[in-house]
Amino acid sequence: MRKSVVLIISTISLLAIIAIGLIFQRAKIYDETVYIEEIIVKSVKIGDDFFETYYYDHETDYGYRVKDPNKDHNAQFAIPYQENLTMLIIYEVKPETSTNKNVTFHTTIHDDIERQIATVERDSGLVTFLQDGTASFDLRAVDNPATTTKIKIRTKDFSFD
Amino acid sequence: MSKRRRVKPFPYDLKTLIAMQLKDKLDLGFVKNKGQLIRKIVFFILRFIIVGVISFALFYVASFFKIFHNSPFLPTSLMTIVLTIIFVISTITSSNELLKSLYLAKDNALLVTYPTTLNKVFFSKIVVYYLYELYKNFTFVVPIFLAYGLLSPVSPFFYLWVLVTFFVVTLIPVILGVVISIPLFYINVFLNRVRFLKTVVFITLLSLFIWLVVEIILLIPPRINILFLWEPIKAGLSEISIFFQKYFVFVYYIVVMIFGKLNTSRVYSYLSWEPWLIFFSTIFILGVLFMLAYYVSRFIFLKMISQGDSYGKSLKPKAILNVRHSRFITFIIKEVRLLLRNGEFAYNFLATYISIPIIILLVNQIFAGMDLYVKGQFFVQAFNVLLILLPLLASNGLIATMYSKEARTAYMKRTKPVNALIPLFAKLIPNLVLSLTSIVVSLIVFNIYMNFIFINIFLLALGMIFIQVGHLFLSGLLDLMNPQNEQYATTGTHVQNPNETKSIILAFVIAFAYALITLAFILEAVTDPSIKFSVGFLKMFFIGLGFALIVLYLYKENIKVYYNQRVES
Repeated sequence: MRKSVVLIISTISLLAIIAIGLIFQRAKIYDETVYIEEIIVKSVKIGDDFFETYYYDHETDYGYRVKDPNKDHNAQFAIPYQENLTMLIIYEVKPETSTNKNVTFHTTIHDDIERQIATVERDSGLVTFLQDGTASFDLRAVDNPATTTKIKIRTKDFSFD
Repeated sequence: MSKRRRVKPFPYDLKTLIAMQLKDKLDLGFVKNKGQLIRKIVFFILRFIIVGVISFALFYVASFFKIFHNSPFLPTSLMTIVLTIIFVISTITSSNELLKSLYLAKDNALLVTYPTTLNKVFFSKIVVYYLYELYKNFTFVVPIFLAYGLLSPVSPFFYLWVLVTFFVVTLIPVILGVVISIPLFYINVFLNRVRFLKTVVFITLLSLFIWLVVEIILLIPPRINILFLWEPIKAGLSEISIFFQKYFVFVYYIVVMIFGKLNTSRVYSYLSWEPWLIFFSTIFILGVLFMLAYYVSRFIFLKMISQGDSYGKSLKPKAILNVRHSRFITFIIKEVRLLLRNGEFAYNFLATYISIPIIILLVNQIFAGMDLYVKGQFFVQAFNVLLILLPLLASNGLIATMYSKEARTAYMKRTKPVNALIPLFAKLIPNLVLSLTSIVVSLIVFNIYMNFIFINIFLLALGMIFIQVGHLFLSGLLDLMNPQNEQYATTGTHVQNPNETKSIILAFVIAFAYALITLAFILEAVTDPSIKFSVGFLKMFFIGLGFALIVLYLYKENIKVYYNQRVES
């Protein structure tokens, strides 16, 4: 059969499925709002590389940290600092059926001398390190600001070593 | 003393060989015609833009809905997935096409008689296929990469570099094709020797493929609820993208070669060693691989040239008992044999007849997942009728070329001491039987979802069978009334058969009309309680029967006019 005929038949089929689905499907009203109960930070993505995270909880110090890929046990990894170091915070929310799954990102100053270490884009979670050091970020559920989680990322300038 | 004329040295003969074969493969007749050339260029640009715009829209949607890792940034692994799929498809196609063009092509015997070396003939075949792949990649793949580039932090250099890299990227499936075609050739020779095994392998692979497709279709959930499925789909896509980046490292490297390395500042950069190392390593590896494959496959090529079609075939004559059949059965056996010998023609029909029940399964599984109003169910039923008839009748377009394809041998029919109706009718029988089986299987699948009572589905099946019979004979009739035998005898592969076009247009008209009539009768039966549901199906049966009877009558009468009366005169 000619390719053009196959293409026309496929297009007609697809359009018909969409049209029938849109016009004749019974409308459902979902009046139940499912709120985010938990935010899990899965990894941090630098370039195309993923760095796993682990949850650390010790008295007042808690939150996710970047796991050292060279060690089997959970140990915090110091990411080599470079100028304009940028990374993405990869997360997921629970339950999967949450009505509004959006999360916002906020930076918290976390350094002994209170320097601004990094900035984070509020909606995308794109972190940019301005200088080396440790920075913490809060992830806040849009539908329920009470649901938050924290990740602490440490960078170190090895060029002076 | 007169000097002997020498054959023009390289590269002229190689260039001529490539130009000749390319002209045949890409139908380059338009190059000399300015109007056609402009039309071709405009269509190329249009195709390029359409593919680019569709890809851009899909990537934009993925970014807008944060499909990958809940992030608006598109991951490089997305292009790894795209390129892997393209490589797999291209390598399979290239292996098959190169097997045919390098070792099994009929033009090999002619090309080696030209004043050139065998090496150049062999090399020209690979170059021709490479140029053909390059044309396809620049039409369909490059726009996808450009669309991704527009939504990603690529360097301006990318827009130039992508054109350069695709000369290398295209080489990958072609050279892999040259390599894979070698074992494929031996498998082909072996299967040609053991015909029975070839049939078993074909049926097994086909059954496995159908089983796999059906299993995938049945995975569609019984209740499609986008709200609940959206998050698992998103998570699944993110996992798949990570899987591809992890396990298809080679393809990921090629993507890095094209876009550059995504650096820590989240910008694709060529200012690192990776893209350049990958670029030169790929060229080196492909060069070595090509040289190895070249010397092995050249050896097979030479053997094929020297032994022709008889290579690897058992030439022992097989004694078959001469069985006397009736005239009609004799012609049917002849047609079945012809159909099986012309593999591509048979596969074309087989693909259509097998895919229709699968499409019906897919569509009904999708609709089963939707909670439709009753009226929507009626539209689905009419849509099923359309979906069975449309590809089935459109495939009859090839029937409208069957008699003409016999070219000058068609007139042999007139010399046979039988009624012309017998060989002409017998030619349509194999397709008729297979297509009717396809309708029956499709309607069985359809009824699993619709639960019609037996009489209704029986009447619907008969109605559709008669429509198919009518259109099949109508297509044959079109070919009888306007024979194109001379075109097939002289033109070669690029034949423009007007009967095929007419048959396809009629297929669309008939399929849509019959589906609309179905819908009208179903709605009439629902809205008017005095009309039984079966009455609608009975009417459809009579419409089909009437159509088939009229066409069969016309077919018979036209054969009288075009064959018997002409002979008498």
